[in-house]
Amino acid sequence: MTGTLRQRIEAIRRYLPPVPGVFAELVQLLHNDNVDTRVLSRVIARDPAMSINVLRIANSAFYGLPNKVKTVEHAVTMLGLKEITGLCMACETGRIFKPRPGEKHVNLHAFWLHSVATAVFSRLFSNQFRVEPQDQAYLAGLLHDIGQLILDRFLHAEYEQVVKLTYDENIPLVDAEIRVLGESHGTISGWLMDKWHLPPLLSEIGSCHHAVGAASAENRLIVAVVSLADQAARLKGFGFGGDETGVILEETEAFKVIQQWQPELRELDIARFIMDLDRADFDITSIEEMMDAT
Amino acid sequence: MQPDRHLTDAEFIALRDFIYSKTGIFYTERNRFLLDARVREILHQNGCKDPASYIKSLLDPKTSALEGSRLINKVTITETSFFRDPPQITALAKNVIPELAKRRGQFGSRLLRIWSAGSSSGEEAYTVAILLAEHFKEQLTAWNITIFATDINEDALQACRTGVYKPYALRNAPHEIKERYFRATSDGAFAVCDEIKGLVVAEKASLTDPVACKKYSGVDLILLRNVLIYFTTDAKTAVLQSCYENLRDDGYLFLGQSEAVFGINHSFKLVTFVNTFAYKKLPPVH
Repeated sequence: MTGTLRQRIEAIRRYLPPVPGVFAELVQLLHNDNVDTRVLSRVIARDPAMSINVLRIANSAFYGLPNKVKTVEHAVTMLGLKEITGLCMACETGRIFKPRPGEKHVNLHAFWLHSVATAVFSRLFSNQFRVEPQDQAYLAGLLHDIGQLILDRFLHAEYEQVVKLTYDENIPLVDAEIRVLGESHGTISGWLMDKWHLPPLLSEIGSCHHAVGAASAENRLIVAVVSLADQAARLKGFGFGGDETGVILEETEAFKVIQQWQPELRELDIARFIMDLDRADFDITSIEEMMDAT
Repeated sequence: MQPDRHLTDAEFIALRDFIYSKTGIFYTERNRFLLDARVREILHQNGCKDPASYIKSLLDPKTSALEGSRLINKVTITETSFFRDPPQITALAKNVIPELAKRRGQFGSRLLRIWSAGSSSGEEAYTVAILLAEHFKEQLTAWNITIFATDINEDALQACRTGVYKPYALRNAPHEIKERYFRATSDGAFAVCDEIKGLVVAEKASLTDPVACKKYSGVDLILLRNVLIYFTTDAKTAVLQSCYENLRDDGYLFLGQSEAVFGINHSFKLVTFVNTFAYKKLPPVH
């Protein structure tokens, strides 16, 4: 890629791969609350790679189903539409952005561990704080940081600098990105979700998870939930959350937005709440292992 | 000779109250067995016949000071080691120390005061000293750094001043650290090097004595790890109040990995680091 740094970043938008295979249809179905299991199954079944993934996930130890699942329709029925769709989409996205052999890249295992943790916490928090829509929060969590992989792929040398700066000066990743690139990974995540015609909510969560104040009024709450989940995943040390800076959670925009929604949160013992998240450990590592095997 | 027996309820209460009055530490029914075991050790060492006569000597003005001191030394021994609680050590090394150093350096003061409260034999105080040395490297001598290691246990304070430790105390310390900051002694122990020793001042002070604690005001960092757990709620409140008064506005307070300030003191705000927490002062309400 040639041109100034700014030009090269803008160019990423053009070079983003088109939405893969049956994704587009799956996404359409996600918009729809009353989608039929059979319709969804038929869509997935048209894509061999995705079909294999769905069956593999359904038969994994994580779900512990008593009998072997042999058809996509059976898998979808057992595991729930949204859950399986989310995981499939994340797997497919991971496959698309997998680095070519010999190409230098960020630690993918650490990346996906963080993304899965964010997804699981997003669902836990949206449940805890009674915020909807929980399933979209889960999918948003899985894909929120995809912009990092994209930046690493298209501008590897510069992104290496960003990561180094984050560690050397112990500053938040986003600050380092702005300083070196003039753009944050959130924006890039948003670009991808736009290009793939994912629900606008997902795109907004992607682009605003580090800038909750910039989210629209109607979506700010769910954006805040995923933002807080992102922080929690980072602070629990799941994979690579970007940086190791400390944070006063109750001073974050995300927390304040959620507190407005749930005023009793003021009394909440944040420390204990986050420490309690240990109960999600097993889920998070199992899901990431499942994704890793693709 | 009477066989060893456990403390009667009356004896336990008498000892418990004596210790509480001197130290703020309160032995509950749950850790009664600990007190029991320690008293029996004292009885063996003293050649005392039974707990009843021992308690008499504690309360007798002629022998009270000596026996009281010996008892306090016995019951305030805590398990401590170098580089304890890795997530906290990481937070100190990566977040807190660089931040404090940057701030103090900015205004040219180059002064850092740290309070290791309930420091026992000094492993924690020396650990912080090492972290500071690792951060500042050759610049260390350009800084005016004091780490106050306070405790009420005189044996522990003396051990701190001596600065010689068994290998077990260094089990969590990275190899390079041992090489760089310790000297091996002839009997297989490790002696803290002079540069590190010079940063630590061991002093006797009771955390429940607010007057004594006033000496440690204006500190940038307070470490109060696994100390509060021994205190009653009232004593905890008093100690945290001392910490609040002694800590600089932008300073940090570290408690033990599983301790929390909530419910006891609402003057601190929680700072979350990767896998651990610390506290900063909330500004006073006017």
